[in-house]
Amino acid sequence: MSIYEASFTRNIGVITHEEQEKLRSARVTVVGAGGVGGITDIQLARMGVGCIHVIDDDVFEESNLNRQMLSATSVINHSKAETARNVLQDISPEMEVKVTRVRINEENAEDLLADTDVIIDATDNLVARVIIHRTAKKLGIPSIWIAVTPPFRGGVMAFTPDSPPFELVMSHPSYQKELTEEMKQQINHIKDERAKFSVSQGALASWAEGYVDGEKPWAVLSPVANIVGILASFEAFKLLIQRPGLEPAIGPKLVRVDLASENMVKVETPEDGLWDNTTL
Amino acid sequence: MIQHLEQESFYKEMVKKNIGVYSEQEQERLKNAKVIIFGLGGVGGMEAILCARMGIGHVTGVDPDEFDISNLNRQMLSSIDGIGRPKARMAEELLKNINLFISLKMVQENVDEHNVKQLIHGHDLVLEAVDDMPSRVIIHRTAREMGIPSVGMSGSPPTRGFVSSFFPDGIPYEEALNLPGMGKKLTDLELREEIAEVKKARAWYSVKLGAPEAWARDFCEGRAGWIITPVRAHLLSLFSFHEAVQILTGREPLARAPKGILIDLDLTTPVRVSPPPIGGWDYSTL
Repeated sequence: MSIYEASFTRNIGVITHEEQEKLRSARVTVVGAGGVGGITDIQLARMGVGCIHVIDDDVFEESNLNRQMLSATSVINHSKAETARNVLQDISPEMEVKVTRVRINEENAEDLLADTDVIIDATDNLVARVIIHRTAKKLGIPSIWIAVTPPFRGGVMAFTPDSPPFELVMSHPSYQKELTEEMKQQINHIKDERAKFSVSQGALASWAEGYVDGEKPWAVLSPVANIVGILASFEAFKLLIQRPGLEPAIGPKLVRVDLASENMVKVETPEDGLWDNTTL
Repeated sequence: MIQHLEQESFYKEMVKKNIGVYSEQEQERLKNAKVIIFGLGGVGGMEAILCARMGIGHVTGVDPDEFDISNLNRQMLSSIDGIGRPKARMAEELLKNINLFISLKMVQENVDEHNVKQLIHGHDLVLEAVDDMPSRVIIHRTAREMGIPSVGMSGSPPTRGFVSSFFPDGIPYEEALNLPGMGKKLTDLELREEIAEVKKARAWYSVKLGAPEAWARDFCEGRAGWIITPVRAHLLSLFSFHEAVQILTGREPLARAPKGILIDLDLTTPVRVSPPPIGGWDYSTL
């Protein structure tokens, strides 16, 4: 038995041999190797995905330790993407891990995101997200969106070449418009509105004020970030194996997480097909 | 003194992003908390990592096993490098590398009637993440006797799970889950066998929901392991851990027994909190 087969014996039964082979030949690109991206990378390796491209220009810092599964004190100030390579190859030696240490922008997005089967957007920057999902659509590749929002909320939603576009579903001001500096500011402003809205959901008001004033970081709790990352990897898994009856949540259908609600994770579709990103 | 200051500032930086959801006072409670985790495999290994990252001050882990290659698909403490090494030792190394100042006690032992009290003594909360039914009963029963809350879980194919929090003044584990042998010591081998049989019933129930019949047969005859993907194992860890944090910070957990968190990724509400059906939970369906 090969190392690959021995490693993934316990998957078989939940997934078939044929599906495992599909994963083995699959390519996934994950943008961001932080709170959501890190656990997503690890899940993909432990499911037996054959090839991954990790894109992140950042290094680890102490405040990542509370939730980021690739982080450890021994890799503080080390590249997140390079650390991902080491961790993933120690889980699945056969996995081909490609690493790119850049920040995604309009100029490099097409080159970075081409030649893959699924793109996962695990960034924390709203402008980067617009660029990722626009480019994915243009390239004809499915892309997965995620959110992690105080206090206990999050979301996962997939977009495909045939689905309504990300910016339309999210009621973004940038839909079908050029990403001028002014537009980028408008997009970034949505995150301030999300902070203010989260107070109505139980986040501390002093935190939200501090965030809007630029004094406090986005509060991110470990269970939420990791649940969202696992659910994002599950959406990727569904898009890759294409099992009849196991449908991915394709926008505007949203996998909504709220650990403070009785329905902790539920799949929801808005009546008019539109979400207001400030409330997600 | 310098060491102490370093410790303070490291801790503050590590948990910085928790603040806003939890308050400084709640974080302080987590820092002073002592948690024991039974099982350092698919569910418990991830729970141990989550405890360290969240800033929980002391973690005890109990597991008799060494890592095997078939653990790699779901066990967060496992890696190619760690194959053949005790899970308890790997947990110690990996958790120390997350929080330099965490207090740890990693025990390479099997939990049973003879050592369970001694192991639980001195902790504020029990996280149960073992895979055999008699051990589950022993752990939750003893935690209750000792006045300590315990969070329990169960996972089944294809992608189903159950999490519930048990309190000393609440419904007992065996009663909530309709298990045989209430009040009897599990030194009785026949009773042990009867409780272990529940897992075989769970395998056959899983077949109704899409697990292969050939697997259930092999499992019941001891020729195959319990099938489990990382998605399910880690969702169980995360929902169990969230219950633990709610309890330790003094908030209300979502699933105070007999309520349970039900996971089934095939449903349109993949995770929900639910009261038990009339007559209590039927463990063979969980």
